[in-house]
Amino acid sequence: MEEHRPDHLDKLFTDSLRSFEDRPAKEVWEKIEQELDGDKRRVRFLIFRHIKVVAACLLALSLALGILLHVGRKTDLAHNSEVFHHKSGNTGASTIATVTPSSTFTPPSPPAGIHLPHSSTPDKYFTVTVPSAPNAAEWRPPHDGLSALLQPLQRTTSRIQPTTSRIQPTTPRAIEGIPQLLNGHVDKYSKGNAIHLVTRLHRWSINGYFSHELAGYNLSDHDSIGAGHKEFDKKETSLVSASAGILVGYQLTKKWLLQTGLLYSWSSSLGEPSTAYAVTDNNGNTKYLLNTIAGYGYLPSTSLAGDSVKTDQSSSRLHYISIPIIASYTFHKRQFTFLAGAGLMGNFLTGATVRSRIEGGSAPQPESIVTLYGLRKITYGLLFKTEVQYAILPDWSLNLIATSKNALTAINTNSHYSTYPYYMGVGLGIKHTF
Amino acid sequence: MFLKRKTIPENDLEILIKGCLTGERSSQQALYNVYSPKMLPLCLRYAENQEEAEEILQDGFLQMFRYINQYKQIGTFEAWLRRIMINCALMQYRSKSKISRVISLSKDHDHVTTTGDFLDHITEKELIGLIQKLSPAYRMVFNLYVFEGLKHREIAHLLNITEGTSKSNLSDARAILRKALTPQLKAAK
Repeated sequence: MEEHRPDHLDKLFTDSLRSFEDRPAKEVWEKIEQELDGDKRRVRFLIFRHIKVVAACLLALSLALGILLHVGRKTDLAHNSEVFHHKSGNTGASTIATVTPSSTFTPPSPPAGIHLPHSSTPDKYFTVTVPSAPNAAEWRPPHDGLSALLQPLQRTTSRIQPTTSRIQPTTPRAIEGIPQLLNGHVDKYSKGNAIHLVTRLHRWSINGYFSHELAGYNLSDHDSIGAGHKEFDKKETSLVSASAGILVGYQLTKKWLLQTGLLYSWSSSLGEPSTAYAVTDNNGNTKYLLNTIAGYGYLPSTSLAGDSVKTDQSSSRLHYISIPIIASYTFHKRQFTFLAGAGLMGNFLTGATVRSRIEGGSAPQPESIVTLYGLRKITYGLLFKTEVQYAILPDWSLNLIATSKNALTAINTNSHYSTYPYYMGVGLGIKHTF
Repeated sequence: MFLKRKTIPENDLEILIKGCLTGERSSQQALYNVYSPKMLPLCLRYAENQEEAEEILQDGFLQMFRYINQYKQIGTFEAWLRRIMINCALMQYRSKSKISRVISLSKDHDHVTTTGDFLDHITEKELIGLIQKLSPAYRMVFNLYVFEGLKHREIAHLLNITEGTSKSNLSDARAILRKALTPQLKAAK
């Protein structure tokens, strides 16, 4: 075994310098103070940015909810106004008036006394109540009977304006695209002596997908000590990452879709062999500190002596569960539906490990898988998505999805650099509408 | 400037560390005032001149303040801080390693001369000056072996050199320093 053999000269130096002290220039402390002030400013900036992201998420969520409620009410009004229920006052028999059944339809002049209840009509259907006045009783809809009801709802519609208490047809407008949205479902059922027509909208969808991703990292240096991030750029290579998830969609309008759900993603990177320094870990044990682009891990120390060891290649892996909220613009072309969307994601760290092995020594060291520290538990990101859906069945479609995810918050803390990952992915999915 | 070696009572140190943990500037400055005179000579030994030493000292204290939460009071605080300083010195050495290699080939740096007849009157600063005049590669090996008590295997790991190079560098560094001090050593006898 190698022995430490100090000689006379060594002793001369060590004895002479053992108790030597010297005061540094005043400027050193001033520079340290400046750097420490910079740290505080950076922390404040990060907190501010964090708050901004949370505020942006809340704003986006409230906007989305607002749109959802507002548009939901509007679409109820629009679709359900195509059918209204007319109750004959003198006979008690019910007839149904279909407004604007065709483009050639000439609206009849409704008798006085036809009242259209406000949008708060029970069951959300507009009912035209004809009072027992004789002139009102004589009025008939242009298509009497159930056969008229079953004529398809198509092409034109009228706007019912409750404030005027009259049916006021407006210029017919095309409603192309509605068939896809409605998928042609017209249900009828009777309730008492009234018959209701319901147009059922395929508002909801569920989408499962798996995507392969290429990960990269943008690094932002925090201090002037050194170009640490450049070293990592060279030393660490991103490996292929992947994500899988389920998205639930709500069709706000004919063109706009709002999606949310749960995504599980994992990414890995490979670091070149490096030097790990012995430090005290969070439990007070001396271990070798292994730095990675994302965080740091403590490799078990096999020897107390020495400040550093060489490590083999390190492989770090991060696992996240994400909740996105995505607004997408959609349009249809034959059996294809195209989507382009953007949204925000909240990412929750579920696991972070690094795997490496200490090199050297008389016997081969076992490989260790240790936890990565210095990572944020919650991060936020932007998500961009384009999708092509091919309808294989009326309610089912296959999807080709391209995604791009960019971190808004750094994934690491307590480091001289901030790591902002980004992912580019292509995947396949399946969608069911209901 | 020579200073009397200050020691700080354990309780006071604990209070200062707690203050540093909360980012209290007065505690940080007090800790700096206590330990910077002890750490500067260490930095001077690893550096080529005063400015470089103060850079290492600055980096070391910044690292210490940033990572003070990792100090778990196992071993003395001074030893922990020394380790940080040495690591900063190593980082600086590595970042300049290319230049260092070029310098180490220069013969001028392999001849350290003393400026006067002084073993009895030799000051600590002059001894440090002799170390500083060694080439960076020799200086690192000499410091790590003589002052930190590391073995050649460990030095080889740290500096990314072979054990043989470490031994050879130490031997050369000693020879250069011995030669520089020969008149004084003879006078001492």
